[in-house]
Order: sequence, then structure tokens, then C-alpha cells
Amino acid sequence: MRNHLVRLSLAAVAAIALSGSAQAQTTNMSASATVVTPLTVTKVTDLAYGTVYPGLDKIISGASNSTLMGKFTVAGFSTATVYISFTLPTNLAGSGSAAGQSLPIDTWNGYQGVGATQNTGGTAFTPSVSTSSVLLGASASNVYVGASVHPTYTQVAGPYTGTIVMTTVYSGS
Amino acid sequence: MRRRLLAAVLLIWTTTAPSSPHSVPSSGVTATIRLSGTAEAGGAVHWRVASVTSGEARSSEGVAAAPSLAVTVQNALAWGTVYPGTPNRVQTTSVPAGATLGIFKLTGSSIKTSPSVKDQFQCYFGFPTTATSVSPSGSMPVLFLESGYTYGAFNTVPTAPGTAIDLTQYSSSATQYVNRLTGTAYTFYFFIGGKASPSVTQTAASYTTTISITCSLTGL
Repeated sequence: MRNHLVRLSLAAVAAIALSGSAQAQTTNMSASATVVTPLTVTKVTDLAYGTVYPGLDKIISGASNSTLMGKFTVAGFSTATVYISFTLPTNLAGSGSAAGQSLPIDTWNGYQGVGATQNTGGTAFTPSVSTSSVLLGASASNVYVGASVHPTYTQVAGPYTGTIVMTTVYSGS
Repeated sequence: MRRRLLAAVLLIWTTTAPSSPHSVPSSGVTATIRLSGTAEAGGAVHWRVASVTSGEARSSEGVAAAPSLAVTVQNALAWGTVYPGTPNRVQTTSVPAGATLGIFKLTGSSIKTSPSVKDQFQCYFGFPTTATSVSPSGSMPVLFLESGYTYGAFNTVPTAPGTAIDLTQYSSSATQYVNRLTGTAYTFYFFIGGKASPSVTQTAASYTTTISITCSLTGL
């Protein structure tokens, strides 16, 4: 026979439901950057063809009339890489007695480097093709630019000028 | 015939009336006692349940801690060397050499002795728009309010592109980032990137700014 003894038992299960509204916690984080020296671009000499004769092309490059090449200098944070790009004319515009006339110019060439001359100690590049990079040093990097002009046999005599724009920007490294 | 008598008794205690003796029928009983109360941040509730079984007195007691929350800076955000005219981007999935991704770390505990209890935290951010230099005096634009610069995650690091949470939308107290806690002890990280935009003539100097985070913990 079963024992009908009633077993008294009490199992207490306590579930704690505790809610809280913690005070707001505010923390500040610093964000920092070290900015290096801005770039300085200087035009040193113009690309100067001097006297040009009708019907005779005149070439200025590292290999020909190199001392007539235009020259820029680029200075900034030492060892930084700088991108250089150019906006180049396709014609020189006449003025004075040649007003309204144009003189074709093309075959752009360049040479650059820290301490480079027109054709030594640096790297050749093509200004009209794409962006080139220059590695800056403790001293300014030199950038030389040349091109060819093509006067016709009937080219009107007079002064012709154009503008070469060199744009520089740090590569970020 | 074996008889079992089951009954459930629900007792509600509050911290303002912590001592409320209750009796239960003197028969086979399984009693579930739920204690609820409110504690201030960092506080605790001491509880004790007493019972009598076949004339034998028993008691059980414990301490329930209030939810806690702490926010610290694990890493400060650093862009490193920045070049005038060249934006510098530190993103959660792409950190340039020499840069450091900022990390806020949330730690704390919640009460999870019952599955029905869920705490949540909510945070909002203060993102500046400029960094300044002291000597020489100057300022530089900075940007954080753009997708890809922030990321939040439990117990992990931002290694999975596409899973980042854009926290920049929580830059005011009116729009707070909310997330459920995942356990009685938790750790949550906010990863902070940004963009520095120096002008081409930006003065060479060290620039700093401050990002703030305000978080609170709320039980449901």
C-alpha cells in the first residue's frame, strides 16, 4: 500500500528581474594628424625658342637645345612623392604683328629629378601623356619641359606665346 | 494514488517594500517567486527567500547587481602624416600605413537571471567638423559623417567589409544607436574612422580634435 504520507515540499525559484537606468557615460577620443609642409612650385625659366625661321621646325629637348628648356622647381616634405601633370597648349598665339596667328607646338618632353639638369641625374617623362611622379628630396626637385614648334613657310613674323600649367599634388605617401 | 498538488505563487517585491512574508499552502507546492525591483547605477539588491519543508526551515539568498556600463577609449584615432591637398581616409576596412583606427570600448554587466529580462544600451556620438592646431594656429576640415567610417560590433574586430554599421547617423542625441546586450557580461566596440582634408596650402602643424560618445543603459 502506498504511503499517503504527504510530502511537503517547497521549491522556491527566485527569478530576479532587476531593471536599472544607468547614468549616461560620456567619453572623449582624440583624433590627430600631422600635416607636412605644403608644396611650393616655382617657375624658374620659360621655355624660350628665341628666333624661329618659317618652314624650319625647332626642337627643344634634353638632347637638343636643352638649355632652352623651361624649368620648374617643386619643394615640399622631404622624401614625399608628388604627382605632376600639365595643361599644354597646342598652338602658340601670335601678338603684335602676328596677332591672330598661331604657331603649332607639340612633341612635349620632360626631365625631372632632385638635382637634375636638363638631361642628367633625373628621369625622362612625357608631360602630354599622363601624370608623372616626382620624389622629393631635401632640396627642390627640378622639372624641365621641352617641345617642338612647327612654323609654316608663310608663318607671319612676330612674337608667339603660350602658357604651360604644371599641377602638383602629394601622392599621400 | 499518488497525488501531487501543484500551485504557483507569484510574489512581487519591490525595493521600497523589501520584506513581505508570504505563506503558501501546506501541501506539495512548487512555488515560483519572482523578485523585481529597481536599483540605481552601480547599486545592488540583496534578496532572500525563506521556506519551510516538512517543518524544516530553509532559506536562500543572494545579491543582484544593477546593470553597469563603462565606456573607455581603447585606441585614439590617428591619421598620421597628412599631405596638403591630399585627403587622408582612415576607414574601418582600410587603414593606411601609419594611421590608427579609433576604438571606443563598452564594458559592463546586465541582469540575465531570467530569459525575459533584456537590457539594452544606447549611444550617440559627437563628431567634429574641424581639427585645430595650436602653434601655429590653424584649422583643418575633418569628416566622419560618411558611410564606411564607423562600425560597431560585439566582441570582434572590423574585418568583414559590408557588415559595417553606419554609426554616423547617430551623431545627435535624437538619434541613438541601440543594441541589446548579449549576456550578463558584455563588451562592445565602436570603431571610428574619418577623413582629414587638408587644403593645398594647409599649414604644417599637428592638428587634433575630439570625438565624443555618450552611452546609457536601460533595462526593458
